[in-house]
Amino acid sequence: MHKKFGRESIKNTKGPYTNFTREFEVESYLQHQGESFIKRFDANSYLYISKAIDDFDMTDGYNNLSEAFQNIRAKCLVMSFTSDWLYPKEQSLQIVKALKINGIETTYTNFESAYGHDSFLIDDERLKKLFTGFLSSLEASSGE
Amino acid sequence: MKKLGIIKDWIKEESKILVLGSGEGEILKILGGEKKTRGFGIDIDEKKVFQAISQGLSVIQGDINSDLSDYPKKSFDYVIAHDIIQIMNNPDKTLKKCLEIGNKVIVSFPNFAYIKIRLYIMFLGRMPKTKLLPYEWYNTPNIHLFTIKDFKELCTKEKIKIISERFSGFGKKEIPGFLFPNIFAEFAYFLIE
Repeated sequence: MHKKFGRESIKNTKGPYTNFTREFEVESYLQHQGESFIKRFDANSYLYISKAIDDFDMTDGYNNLSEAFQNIRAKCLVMSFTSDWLYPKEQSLQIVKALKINGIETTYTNFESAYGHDSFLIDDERLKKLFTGFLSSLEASSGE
Repeated sequence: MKKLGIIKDWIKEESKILVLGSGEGEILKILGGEKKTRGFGIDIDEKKVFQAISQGLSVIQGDINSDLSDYPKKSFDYVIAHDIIQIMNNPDKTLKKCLEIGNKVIVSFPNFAYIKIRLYIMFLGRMPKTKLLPYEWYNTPNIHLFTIKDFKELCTKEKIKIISERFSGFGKKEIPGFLFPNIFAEFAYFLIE
């Protein structure tokens, strides 16, 4: 977060506060994303998506997460990113725990990255290598 | 020296294993290839875990001191604690946890009563540094050093059954059990349940 935005100011002004436009890098980033998103999507769709995300509960209809996972027959890869504040590693570890309880073959890593929640969108050689490795292990086991 | 061969001897083909401190996945890879084992590793180091996953191995980045309790009882044929119990916070508790989640546990460790170590302390009067224990006293991860005798005592106290014990020392040679292993073995291997 700090590396990406910090307290970098895009102007060199300091109060008195007469205008409330963009002053910090992070505000500029959010403004830019907002502007580019409304060109591509209906802004209302975001209201629905936000609501849907808030309402989503993986344990819905089950007593707990491990019960919800009991029918998984796949090998799982769970990843969190060290700088992701939206989905911190503790939540991924809850998933890992529920998978372990079910005896599901699970791979987990808290991937070192400075790009926060967007880390998974970044074209990263290490990330590619990790996925290639995991996917190749699936090929190997299905070939048996 | 450490010999993976002894561990290999004990593992039955196609068994399910859990490797503690799996690092870059060496043991998982060797046993997966030669013994067709299925299984996971657990390691705390992100860079090592990355190397292991990149090779297609199933590894969980986690802490062996706290993360072993989630597995169902007896979910592994073998839990392998190769050269690692001396770095655990609570070796006795973690060992018991291993025996709960695994049918059998393989423990290997450097013997602190090895003759070279005894002589080192006796003549140099300092904490020993050997090939297997290469650290300074202030930066070593080996916070619980112990001897073969100590380990057997713990097994008796905790009613842990020793199925087999093997030893190595002086280069890579295996040392027969009657040859005072607590003096002449540099590294010890125990198969327990």
